[in-house]
Amino acid sequence: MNSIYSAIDLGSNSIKMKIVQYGDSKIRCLENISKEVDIGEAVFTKGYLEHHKVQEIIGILQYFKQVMATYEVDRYRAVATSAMRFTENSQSILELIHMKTGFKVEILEDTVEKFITYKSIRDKVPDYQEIRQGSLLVELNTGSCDISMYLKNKLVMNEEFILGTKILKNLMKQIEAVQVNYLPVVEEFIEARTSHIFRLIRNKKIRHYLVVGGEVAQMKSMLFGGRAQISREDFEALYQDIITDHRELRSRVEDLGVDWYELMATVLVNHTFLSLVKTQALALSDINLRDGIIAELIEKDYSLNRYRIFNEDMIFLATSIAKRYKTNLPHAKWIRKNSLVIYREMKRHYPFEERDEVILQLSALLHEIGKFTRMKDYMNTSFSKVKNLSILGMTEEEMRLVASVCLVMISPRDFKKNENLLLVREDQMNRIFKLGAILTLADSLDKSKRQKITLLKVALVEGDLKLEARAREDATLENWDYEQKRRFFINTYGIHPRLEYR
Amino acid sequence: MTEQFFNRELSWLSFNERVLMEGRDRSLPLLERLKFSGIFSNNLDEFFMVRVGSIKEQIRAGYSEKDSSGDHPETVYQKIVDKVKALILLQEAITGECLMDLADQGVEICGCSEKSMDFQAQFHQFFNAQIYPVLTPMAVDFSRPFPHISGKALYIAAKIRVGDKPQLAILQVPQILSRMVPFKRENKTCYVLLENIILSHLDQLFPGYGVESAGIFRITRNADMELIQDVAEDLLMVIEEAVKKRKWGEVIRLEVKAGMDPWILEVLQSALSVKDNEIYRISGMMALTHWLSFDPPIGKTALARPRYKPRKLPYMVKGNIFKLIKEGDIFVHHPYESFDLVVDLVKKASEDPKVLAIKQTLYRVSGDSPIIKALEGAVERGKQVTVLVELMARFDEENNISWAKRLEKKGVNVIYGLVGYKTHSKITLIVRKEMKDIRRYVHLATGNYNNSTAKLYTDMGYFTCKEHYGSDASQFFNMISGFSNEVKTHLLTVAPYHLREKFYGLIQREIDLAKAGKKARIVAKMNALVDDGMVEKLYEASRAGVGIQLIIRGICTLVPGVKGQSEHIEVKSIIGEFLEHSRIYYFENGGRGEIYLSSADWMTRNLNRRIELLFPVEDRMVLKRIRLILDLYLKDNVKSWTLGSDGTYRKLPLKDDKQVWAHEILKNLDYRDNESFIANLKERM
Repeated sequence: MNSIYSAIDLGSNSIKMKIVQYGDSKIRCLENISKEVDIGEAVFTKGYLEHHKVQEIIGILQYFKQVMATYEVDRYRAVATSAMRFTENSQSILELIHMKTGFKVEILEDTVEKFITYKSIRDKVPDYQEIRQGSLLVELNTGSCDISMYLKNKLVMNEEFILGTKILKNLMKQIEAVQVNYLPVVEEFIEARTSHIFRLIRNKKIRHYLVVGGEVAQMKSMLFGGRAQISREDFEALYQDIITDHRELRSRVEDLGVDWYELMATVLVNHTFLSLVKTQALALSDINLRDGIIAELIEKDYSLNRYRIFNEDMIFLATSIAKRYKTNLPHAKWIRKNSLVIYREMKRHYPFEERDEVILQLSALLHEIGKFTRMKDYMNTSFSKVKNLSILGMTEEEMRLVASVCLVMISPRDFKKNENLLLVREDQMNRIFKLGAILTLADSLDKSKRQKITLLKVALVEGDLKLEARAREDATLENWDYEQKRRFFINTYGIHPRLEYR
Repeated sequence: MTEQFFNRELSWLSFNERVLMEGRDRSLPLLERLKFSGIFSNNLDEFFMVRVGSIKEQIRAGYSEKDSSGDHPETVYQKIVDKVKALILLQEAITGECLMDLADQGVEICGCSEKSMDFQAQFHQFFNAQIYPVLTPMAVDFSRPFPHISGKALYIAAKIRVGDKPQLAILQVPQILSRMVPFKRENKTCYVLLENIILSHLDQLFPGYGVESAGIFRITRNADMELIQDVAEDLLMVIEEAVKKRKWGEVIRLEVKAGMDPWILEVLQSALSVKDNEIYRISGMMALTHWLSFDPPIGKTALARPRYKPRKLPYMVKGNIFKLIKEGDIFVHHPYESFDLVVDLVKKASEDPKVLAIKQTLYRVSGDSPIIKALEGAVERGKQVTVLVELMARFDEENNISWAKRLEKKGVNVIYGLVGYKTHSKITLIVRKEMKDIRRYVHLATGNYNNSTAKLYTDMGYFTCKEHYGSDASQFFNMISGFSNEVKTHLLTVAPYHLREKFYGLIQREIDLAKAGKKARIVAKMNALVDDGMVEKLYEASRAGVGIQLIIRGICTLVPGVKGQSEHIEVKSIIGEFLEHSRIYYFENGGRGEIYLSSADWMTRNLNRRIELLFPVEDRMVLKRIRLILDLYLKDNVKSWTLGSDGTYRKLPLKDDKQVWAHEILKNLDYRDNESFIANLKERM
């Protein structure tokens, strides 16, 4: 029997559920339900959700539960996004939902939400490999605007701006009150807010422009007759019409109960970013969080390799950030590669957390980014920069862990005194030490940052960690540093590393 | 009328006239002819309760706009009164003819003036034993309010002398007793009307008072319910209330026996607030609906039409219905083919351990519905059962409320649809967990899930388990449950969201094809055509040269055959043994014909204010078969009436000897499956 999965998404404007059947490598949609419920408006104005709104949400979820029972769903995941993140009473709401419906709803952070959403490109975009070769993804949501760029099969940029439809709507209303031709002014505002990333996009080989996010469906049906692909010419023509005289269009849109300002926000943001690339068409993509959640559920149950490249996006992104901070990339990549070898061997014998492998790799790639602004004593600068980075798929807590591991790695002897570590939860300290010890060991083997050493084999033999290596030139500096750092590894694991050259 | 539109009310009366005229068809058994008279009366009652009630409301509210046909409400009302009076005379004449013929066949309807002692003894005995105990005479005087008079029930009003003053007494003719009471007379069966027996015993009912005169009367009340649904939190409660209120609706028609004592009439008229033009004087029998349930006396079965038994095709009785549907889409044409297959599907689904869920819309359901029982059984077996009950199915509200409550008690998920929209669509969705897959079985139909009417109404049903139908059906149920905003379907078109646009689009395609010199034609069969937009679109198509043939049972506001407007449009109406109820829409599409079936007529209410479904017939063989059925209807020259541009319906004289009687052909055609149906019907045509 094939498996039945369900994904529920409590968004700002609607609650959605998708139920699919998976089998024979095929995903078959059984239900795709969307019920409008304005959670965002209440949250963004009042900061909390009132009882009647919570009851409405519960009513919808109870119905979803019934529909799920129709198919005997095997596994589900219910998530809430930005609106619930900003709700003061979110925890009590989630408890109530659990009590009344049995659903355990988790609140997703923005970066994780997007990471999961982009995973759905694998199943929703037929030529996803082509998309990954060079494309710009522009996503406008209630609270934010997100710009992502794929180049050569890697996610190389993901920037979020607090520039969602709600903000732009308010701005439009205010400017409209004083200026008849208000839309160009709003576009000017968008440019001002986002222009610092323009140089990262211009002149890149962008072959595809994808519009994604909550407003895409309306844009598609209201402005482009349901087409999923529109030419640049058509988009420009529409933009010119809107700028010159949009009265007729506006009344048509508003007659259908669609928010004119939110629709215009989508058009203006896209017009701004389209001007940076040379693509001849825009794809209005319906990738969404539910499909991403389902992809993850399937991936877990079937141990699939299908989404591997998307899982690596956070590594690509960290690499790209490290590059932007002028990090010594060969060194960072060398540490990443070799620490991973050591980690995987250790993992065969020691317990690690599911996400430790990612934290380890990100720490390896990012530990030196503090040097970009402060060479001397860059430890704390790296810590604070890494902690504040927003990387697709990583939660804030995970980024704090990455930052802490970096701290340990940079300064294995002094880190205990560092006040930044006081912020780390006690139960996470052992985890940080374990990862830090591996990275410190790997780092020592490239002390000269010239990648002289090649690790040939790593194995736990008779209680020692045997590191078989070959050095292409004199490795005295590495050997010296290795001797300094191995103590930390021994203290952490109780295992003696044994470096042997061939 | 204007050149553009016929008046819908007069068009409806014209339909009822065609029903009545069936009673003139001497080729039919006598009781069948009388049954049409009964149907006419029944229809007319509903017409008064709903349509006349609504027009009277407009007049009272001072609404003075002209309707599409160019008439003010007052004018329409007067035209209705005049037409109804003429039709009543026609009904009396036709019923009279039938009764005379019936007497020739040895079945008499007698009065109470029979002199024979034996006969009189039978009368008295029946009155004393059966009628007297259930009678409740009510005196009317100033000390008590005028008694409540129920709509559509027969009453006797008697003028009795109390002291030196006349006083009115009223008694209801008991509805629990048969209206036609059989008596034996010289080895013959003779029927006496119940009210006549009571009338002849009035002295016994008012002993000590002189009964000076008496007469029969009957009222009709306005039953056009107005619900403020937008604020209705509990629709069930609101409708229960409204149904109760209907019993107190304004009196809009008073039928009295011709020659009624003017004093009695005056008192009734004043007490019931009835205007002069609301009084209808009946010379013959009043309220002829009893002919609908009148069984022929023993030995006279030839007087009635033999009961038709719908056929079960060989494949319909084969084992597993799910397997059958998986092998290919199944089409059923009721009443020629049994409704049992539909009942079987729900029954089997309720018993099948693989079935996870059943979802169904229910509009009008028979009293002892096997479908309801099956749904209850399904819940007991742990299946998810969701039923949309339309509480506002006119005159079935009480019935629907009662079994909606019953289903709810059993644990069925009962939903009442979207506020402000009647759910008129007919659809069943069954979700089944098979070897590897979830498979959805769908039944779509033009008629209700009612095993009783399925024997009398012509309807079409379609069973399929194709993915797109199943996915659309799921979406549809989410939408009508009120928990989904999206109505993005693959094959099904849903009113009020996209149905009008879909029809406009399909007609426009024919217009474009005609203009391009390609094959363009529309054949549409429905119950009524009452929508200015649709009519105008059809005129546009006619002007573009699209040939349009409409088979419309009832109201048609379109004016056919007008040069420069509708010269390519023909309208016919088929009235016969079965009530034409299927809605079929055929579009030539340049030679790649498409057929759609629907729960919707081309009426404004169907397109704008109801949840309706339109679905394409994808199976080519079924498509061919339905196309052929449409051809047969178009060729029918026995039960067909053609609408002229003057608004009158005429039966066309037979041009050659070949009679084409669609109902009879479909009843008797010998076939085993779609293929043999097509082959054999072609031969018969």
